[in-house]
Amino acid sequence: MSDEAYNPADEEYANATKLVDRASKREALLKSYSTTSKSFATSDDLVSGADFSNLNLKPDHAARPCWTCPDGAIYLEAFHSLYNSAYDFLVAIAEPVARPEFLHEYKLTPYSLYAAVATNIETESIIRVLDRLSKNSLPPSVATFIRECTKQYGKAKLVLKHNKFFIESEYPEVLRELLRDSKISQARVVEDSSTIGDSSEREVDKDGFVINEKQAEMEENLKILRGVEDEDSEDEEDEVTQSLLEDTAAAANSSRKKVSRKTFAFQIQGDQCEIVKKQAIEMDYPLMEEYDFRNDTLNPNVPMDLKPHAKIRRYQERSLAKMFGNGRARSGIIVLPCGAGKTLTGVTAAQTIKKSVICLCTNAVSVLQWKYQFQLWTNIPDERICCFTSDKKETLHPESCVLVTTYTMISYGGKRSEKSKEVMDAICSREWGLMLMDEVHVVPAKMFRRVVGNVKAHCRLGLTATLVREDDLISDLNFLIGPKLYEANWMDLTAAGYLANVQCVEVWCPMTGPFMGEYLKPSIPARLKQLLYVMNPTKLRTVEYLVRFHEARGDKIIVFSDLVYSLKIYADVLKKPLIYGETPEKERQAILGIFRSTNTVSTICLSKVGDTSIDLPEANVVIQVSSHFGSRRQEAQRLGRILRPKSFTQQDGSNKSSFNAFFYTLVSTDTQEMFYSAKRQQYLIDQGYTFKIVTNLHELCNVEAKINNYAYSTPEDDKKLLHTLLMSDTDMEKEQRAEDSAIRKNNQDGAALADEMVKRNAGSSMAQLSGGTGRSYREIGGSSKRHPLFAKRARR
Amino acid sequence: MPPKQTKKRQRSPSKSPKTSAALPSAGYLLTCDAPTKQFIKSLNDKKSVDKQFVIEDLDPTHLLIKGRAREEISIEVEKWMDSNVFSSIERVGDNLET
Repeated sequence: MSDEAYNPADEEYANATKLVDRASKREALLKSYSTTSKSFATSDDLVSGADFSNLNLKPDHAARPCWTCPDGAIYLEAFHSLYNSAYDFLVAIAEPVARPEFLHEYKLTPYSLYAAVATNIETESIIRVLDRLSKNSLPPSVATFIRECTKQYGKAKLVLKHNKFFIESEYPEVLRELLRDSKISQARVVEDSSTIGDSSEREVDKDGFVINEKQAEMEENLKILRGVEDEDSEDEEDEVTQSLLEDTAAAANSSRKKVSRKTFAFQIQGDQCEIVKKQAIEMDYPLMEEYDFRNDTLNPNVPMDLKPHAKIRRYQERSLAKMFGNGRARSGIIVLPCGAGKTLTGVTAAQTIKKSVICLCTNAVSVLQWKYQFQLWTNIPDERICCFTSDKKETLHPESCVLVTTYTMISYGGKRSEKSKEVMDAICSREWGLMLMDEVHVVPAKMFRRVVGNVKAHCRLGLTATLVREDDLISDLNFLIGPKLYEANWMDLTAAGYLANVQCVEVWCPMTGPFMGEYLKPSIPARLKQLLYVMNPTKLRTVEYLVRFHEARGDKIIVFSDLVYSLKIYADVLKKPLIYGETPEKERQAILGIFRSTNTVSTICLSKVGDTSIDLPEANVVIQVSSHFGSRRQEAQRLGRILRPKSFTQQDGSNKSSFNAFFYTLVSTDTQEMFYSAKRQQYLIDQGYTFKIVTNLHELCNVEAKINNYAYSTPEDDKKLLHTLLMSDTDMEKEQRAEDSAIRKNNQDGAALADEMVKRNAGSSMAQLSGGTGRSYREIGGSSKRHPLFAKRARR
Repeated sequence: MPPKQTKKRQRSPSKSPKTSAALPSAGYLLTCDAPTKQFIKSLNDKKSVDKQFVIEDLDPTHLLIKGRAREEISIEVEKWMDSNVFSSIERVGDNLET
């Protein structure tokens, strides 16, 4: 593990942090606007946040769908006739904050604007379209903010074309500005007539910039965009509406109108590329990287095409259109809900580029799933796709191939086995066309830096369902990978029948007297307190009731519990199979196989290993008994287990009217769990889900328990349970630790790992540990400084 | 969150000195749900013996308490219930990405 090997990655990270700093400075700018504008607000406005009563309403406001506030917040009426086109535009320029059924909230941030510029939307057209869509005249502060944020972003691009690096821009003055820097001008390769003589379209202007007609390139990959656009602008009669629409559509995929636009470019030396990038950031002209994969003749192609049965849905097309906006590939993140076909999107991206692809997953199970998906959707030959995991090391195809592996395999810094080293060397020495990153939100920055340092990829695509973390590392991803290219709206997908319509229910289970008595004792350690509210007998009875109820309906049920000790008790009570960290792979597959294919087992109990990786398309009920404190990510991931559309999900638009999947969270009232539960739900509420709260189910359950002879139905049973729990302290600790280490060992769930990191390094109180206070936590990279000899000990 | 437990305080029926063993004393009958009762008991247990206010633990949902503690109990119960509520008010103006 030499230091030098990590240098490029460290630099990359330093660049990213610089950009993050700058972005937050710009954000502060907007905040200062909004504070000055509400300086006259009286103290009782503090609750509502701000007073916008001084905004001017346009006379024809009814025809326009948005409200734009001086603090950068945009509110969109989801029931407006222009909703669809306005939505596409807003999602391109602003960050969705909350998207309930009727009114969506968006926020302009430096990142979102950066993403907008990256996908070729121009500053002035953002302002123009926003002004058109807005019911009130555009506040000057917003316009200034947009200009300020986009002034220098995206003006210059670093394009990899014909295996040469070009810096390209539509504005020659930007290039001149860049060339004023001595390091950049040194890196420049001066074009003379002989090098460019081969192409007749090109000309060189007086500064020696190569001029290209933009149109030629644009033409190639815009077919997808057109199809979508035509759909949009159908049957609109109103004239105002028509013009609005056109403008929106034009801005959303702006390149169409700029037929005669010219671009200017100069070449730089490939080995100076990193320095140029750094210098450009220094000058605040961050270079956007684009990869002209069609003209990459040096790297051989992978022979693969989509099979005809692969149908790309509209939102998947949209997201890919953003990525391949002008016939080139750009890096970025695509956010799609679980079950909405992230894998197919990734596969399509890979087959569009057709170069060597490295695909990174969180664990060995999803490696197999990805490989299977590649083979399912494309005609890739078997020898061109290989896996690289701890127990399966296949040699890379000498020319080009798709490699599926895990983050840990690539970033592992210790000694490797001979075979693994061989493969790793092959990976490091190859130029990869695309790096696909599954569940990208889980990757801790440190690990990510190693991956980027080890693998040379021209283009990076991150896929995730939940771009939230309880630490503050999301904004880093914006610069480490690329901007967020697309984020789908959960509710729209549900309405279209691409997702199951889930009823979210929070069931309140009061603690029984003796349990509450113990819970309130100040001498009880936090771990045991947690166990007490998880093992609340009312919960036990409710779970049993719900399982019986849904099994009678013929549903497939997953019971989730984070605490392994309690998971075992629950599985025992219900007499159902369970899977947790230590369950051997064979047994897991056996249980899951039976669960998927037969009706003999219709309920399984899962610990947090089941949060992400396990694909159970038929499950339609989740009962959540205990959870990882206030982790919003976990809540969304667990909901994701049942989001896949069921065979009976209607695709004709009527899906919204009836529920076909159920997500129960059992909460012990009057305990910390109430707090965590409310926090966990925030993300889903922002996506438009509503949680129904049931307060009196426990009464029914108590009665049922007595009639049907549940495992725990009498106060005596409760007392016995309480007694065992109080005695179990050490057992539980041991099991939980075993679980955690099992998870860490196999990296079964990188996401849990990411949360765990924060948990171990941050503050002290339970609420803090889980991010419950709504504050953000920074990872303290303690372990990196630790001597390797003590690394093992520290992990315990 | 809607208040879910109702507390009714009634003057307990006047006590006539029947036995000499237990000293009669005036008290309030407190009705609440089981968890809340446990909380009130834990409040009581934190105090030194001479300041304790529970006279008698009647059944899972009833306590007989001293009148002077009424105020304190209702304040503490209120606080306790609020302590487990997550509010998103502070999100206004916050950096929402975290």
